[in-house]
Amino acid sequence: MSTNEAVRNYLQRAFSMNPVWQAANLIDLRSRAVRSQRLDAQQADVDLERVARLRQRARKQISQIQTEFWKQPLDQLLKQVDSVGVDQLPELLPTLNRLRNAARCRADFPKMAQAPWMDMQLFNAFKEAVVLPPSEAGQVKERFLSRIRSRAKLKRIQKAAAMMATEFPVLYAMEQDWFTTLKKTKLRQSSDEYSGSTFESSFDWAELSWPTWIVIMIVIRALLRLLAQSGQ
Amino acid sequence: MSQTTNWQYLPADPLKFFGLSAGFERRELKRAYGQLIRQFKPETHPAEFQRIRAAYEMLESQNRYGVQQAQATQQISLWDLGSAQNLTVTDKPPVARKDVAVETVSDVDSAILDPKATYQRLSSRQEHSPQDYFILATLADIVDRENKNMYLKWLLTGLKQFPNDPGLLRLVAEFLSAFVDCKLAPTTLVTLSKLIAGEDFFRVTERVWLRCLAELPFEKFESTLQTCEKFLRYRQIRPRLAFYVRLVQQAVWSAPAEWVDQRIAFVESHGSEIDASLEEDVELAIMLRDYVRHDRQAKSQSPVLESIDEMLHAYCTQAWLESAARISSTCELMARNSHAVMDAFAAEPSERAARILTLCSIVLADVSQQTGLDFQPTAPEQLQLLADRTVRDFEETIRSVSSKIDWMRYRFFGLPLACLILGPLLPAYGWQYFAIFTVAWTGLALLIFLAVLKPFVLEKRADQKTRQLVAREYQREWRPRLFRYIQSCHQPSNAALQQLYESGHQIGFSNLVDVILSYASGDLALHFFSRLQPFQR
Repeated sequence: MSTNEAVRNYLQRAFSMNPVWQAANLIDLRSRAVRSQRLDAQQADVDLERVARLRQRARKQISQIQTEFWKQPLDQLLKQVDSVGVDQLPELLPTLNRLRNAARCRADFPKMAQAPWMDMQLFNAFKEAVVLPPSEAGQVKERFLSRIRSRAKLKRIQKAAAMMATEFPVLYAMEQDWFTTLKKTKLRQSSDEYSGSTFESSFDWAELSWPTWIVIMIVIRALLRLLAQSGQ
Repeated sequence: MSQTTNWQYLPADPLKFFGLSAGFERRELKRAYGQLIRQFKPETHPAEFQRIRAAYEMLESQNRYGVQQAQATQQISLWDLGSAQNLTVTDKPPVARKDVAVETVSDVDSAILDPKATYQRLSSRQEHSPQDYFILATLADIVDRENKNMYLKWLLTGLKQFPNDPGLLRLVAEFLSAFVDCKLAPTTLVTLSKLIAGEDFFRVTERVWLRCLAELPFEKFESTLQTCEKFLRYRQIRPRLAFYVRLVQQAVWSAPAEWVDQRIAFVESHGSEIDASLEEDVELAIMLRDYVRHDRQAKSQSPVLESIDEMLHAYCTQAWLESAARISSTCELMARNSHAVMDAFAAEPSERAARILTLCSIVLADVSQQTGLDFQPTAPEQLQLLADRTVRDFEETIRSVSSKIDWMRYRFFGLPLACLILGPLLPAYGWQYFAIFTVAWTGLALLIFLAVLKPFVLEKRADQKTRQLVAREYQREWRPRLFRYIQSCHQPSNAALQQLYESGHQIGFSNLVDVILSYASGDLALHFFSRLQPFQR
C-alpha cells in the first residue's frame, strides 16, 4: 500500500464488500494489503489459485508421463518425473512416487522380459498396469485374469510372480496386491448342470444327495434280507 | 448443472443459491454443496469454488449453532455499503447527504478520497454506527500503520456498543481466525467474552479455540476457557453444546480423558436441546472418543489400521484443505491394496472392527461430499461385463461348495437315520419276532426321525454348519473376488452389488448369488473399500 492509487483501490474494493457475507474475502484482502501472513492457512484467494494452477499443471504432466512412459529416453523421462512439483499437492505424491519408481527400474523391464521363467502375457499386463491410472489398470488386470484358461498356464504365471518377488522386489512391490491375487487364484471346472438349490435348509426327499440314497438302499436291502431270513 | 447455478444469489442469499429453504437440514446443504463442487472443482474453477465454499461454510456454521437465517438477514441491508462498488474515484469532494444510509455512503466516498481526514473526523464523532467502526478499522491500517492492532480494537469497540451486529461479528470471527496468534489469543478471547453474548461468542471464536487447543499447553487452554465462561451470558444453551461437541472431536486426540468425559456428559445432560443435526455430531464425538480410548492402540497391527488412524486424526485436527489432501492421499493407498484391507477386517468383523469401520464410513461420506469426489461413471455395458465375469467366477466354486454341503447333509441326516434304524435291529437278529419287530421299529424310527430328531436337533445343527461353511467359503473364495470387482467397476457398493444380483439372475445362478450377496451386504469392509475407490486417480 505504498501509492495513493493502491490505497484507493484497496479501500474501494474493501467498501464494496458486505462483511456479513464476504468477511473472509475482506480479511484476505486486508492480509494482502498490509502484507500480513494469515496464521490459519485457510482459503486465501491467492494461495488457492496458485495451488489450483500447480495441481492442474502437475496432473497434466503426470498424464503425459503415463502416456509416453515407454517412448521417452530414460534420462529424459527421469528429468520429466523430477520436474513435477507436488510439494503442496500431497494427494498426487503416491502417483508420482509410483511413476518415479517405475522409471528408475525401467532398465529392469527388458531383463524381466528375457528371463526364462517370465510369461509374456503377464509381463505385458504388468508393464501396462504399472504405469496406467488405477481405473484403467484395473481393467487391464481383469482382462488378463479372465484369459487364464488352463491350470498349467496359471501355474506358470504364479511361478513367474514368485520369481519376480525375489528377482525384482521393487517392481513386485508396486503391484503386490495384484500378485497376491494371482497367487491365490484357482481354476476350477465349471458346472453348468448345477441346480443351485442346496443352500436352502428345508428338507426335501428329492434333494437328498447320492451318498444318502446309497445308505438308504443298503438299509432297505439289509432289512429285506433280514426279513427273508427270519421268515424261513 | 451450469444452467441451474444461481450465481446471482451470491453472496447475499446463500440459501437460495443452494436451493434450500429456511430450516434446512445439514445433509441437504452438504448434498447441494457436493453437487456444485463436482462441477466447480478447486483445480479447474478456483474462483467459483472459493465463493461456493465461503457460502457453504457460513451456512454450515449457522446451522450447527442453530442461528436462524431470518434473524441474521435483518441487519444485512444496513451493511450494504455496495454503492461504493459503483463509485468512480474523482478528486471532487463528496456531497453531504441527509439520511443515515446515504450518509454512510458519503463516509465511504470521503474515506476513499481522503483516508486521514475521514479517520480523524469519524473517530472524533460522538456516536457511531457499526459501519463507522468498520470504516475506522479499515482506515486505521492506512493512517496508523505502526499499530496493527487498531483494526481489531475498532471492531471490538464496535461490538461493545453493538454486540449482536452480524457484520462486526463476522469480521471479528475472520480476523481472529486469520491473524490472532495463539499466545495472544487468551487475552483477546477473554476481552471478547465480556463484550458479546455466549450464543455468538462460541460461533465467532470456534476456529481460534481449535487452533489454541492444538498449539497451547492444555492447562492454559482450559483456564482460558473457564475464565471466558465466567463472563459469558447465555439466552440459549444450544450454541454452547455445538461448540463443545466440535471441541471434543479435536480434544479426544490430546486432552485428558476426564475433561473429554465431562464435556460429553454436559452435552448429554441437555438431551432435550439436541436436535437431529447436532445429534449426528454428538454421536461422532462419542465414537471418536471410544476409538481413541479403546481401538487406537491396535493401529500397529496393520498398515490399514495405521492409515485409518492417520485419516481420522487429520479429519478432526487439521484445517479443511489440509485434512482433505491428507485424507485423499491415505485413502488412495488403501484403495490400491485390497488384500491389506481384507486382512485387517474379516467378513464378519469383531465389535472393534465394526466400530472402526462405521466411524470411517461417516468420515469418508463427509469428506467425499465436501471434496466433491465421486465414482467415475462406468459404461453400463462395461459394468454388465464385469458383473457377468464375476458371477462366472463364482460359478466355478459351486461344485466344491455344493459337494461339501451334500456331504454335510449326509453326515447330519443319512448317518443318524441309518444308525437309528440299524442300531436296535442288529442285537435283535435271530429273535423269533424279529420280522415283526423290524417292520415296527423301522416305522417307529422313521417317525422319531422325521417328527423329533430332524426338525428339532439335526436340522438346526446342519443349518449352523452350512452357514459356517458358506461363511468360510465367502471369506476364502468369494470375498477376494468381490473386492476385485469393486476395485474394477468403480461404482458405489450398493449399485455394484445390485448389478451383480441382476447378472446372477440373468445367467441363472440366482440362489448362489443371493447367498453371496447376503454376506456381501453385511461385509462392512467391502463397503468401506468401495468408499475408498473414488480417491484413486
